[in-house]
Amino acid sequence: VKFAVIVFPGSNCDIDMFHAIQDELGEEVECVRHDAEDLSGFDGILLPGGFSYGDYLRSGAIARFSNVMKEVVKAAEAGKPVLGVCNGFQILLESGLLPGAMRRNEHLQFACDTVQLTVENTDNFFTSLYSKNEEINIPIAHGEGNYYCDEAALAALKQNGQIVFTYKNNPNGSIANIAGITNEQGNVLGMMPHPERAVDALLGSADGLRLFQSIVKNWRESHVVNA
Amino acid sequence: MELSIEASERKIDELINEMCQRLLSNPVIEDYRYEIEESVPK
Repeated sequence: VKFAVIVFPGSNCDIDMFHAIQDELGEEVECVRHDAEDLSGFDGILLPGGFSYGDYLRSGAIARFSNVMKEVVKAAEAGKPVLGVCNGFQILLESGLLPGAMRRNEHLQFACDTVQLTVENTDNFFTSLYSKNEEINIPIAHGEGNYYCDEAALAALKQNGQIVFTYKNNPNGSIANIAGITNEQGNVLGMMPHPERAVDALLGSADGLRLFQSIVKNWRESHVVNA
Repeated sequence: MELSIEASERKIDELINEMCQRLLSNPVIEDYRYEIEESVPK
């Protein structure tokens, strides 16, 4: 499986993501610039955290207009796995690949901690190697992680099983304790916590690694010929 | 926010609404209103 880590001006978790894929997951990975014109050679797309374009206007608001995002939308529509972490999640929201929007943390302070997440749904590209209701430890680091959507959108998220991760102790005020959601098809995941920073016990937790392993497993299963 | 927009073939309200909805505001969490003033080139 060949992954692309998209690098915007101001991305700062791209190297962490690259390390997680290459050294911990052991798959092929390349960093791809924001002005890239073609992602057709990649099987999975990773939008890392950071402060793309300085978070001017709103986080992710400018990055969504960058050249490469047209290709990310194309990949998502083709059913390829697309993962947005932190600022990557914010970009997915601004680009309309995921519903809702991100507000400033309720307490207005930057939140930097390791948090407990509950795995709410395992029927998607990203969490099939976890068990439902499993509790995992993943770090967060964000100032705008207060997820919001209106009641109708929230009802749809619940009904379709699109809520994948919730916080056990909500660190930012997000609606329904949401930490991560997928699109309806389950191939686009946005999450505020950083699984790429939890891929080895040395880092304090290896709970994030199974997310990447799930992508690989599901990709292989959907690409087996004559299965 | 104050912006100058050059005259074009498209209707000014249409342009402004598109700008507001796609970039300047996020309609999921924000409302917007605008006023148009004609400016005289110096």
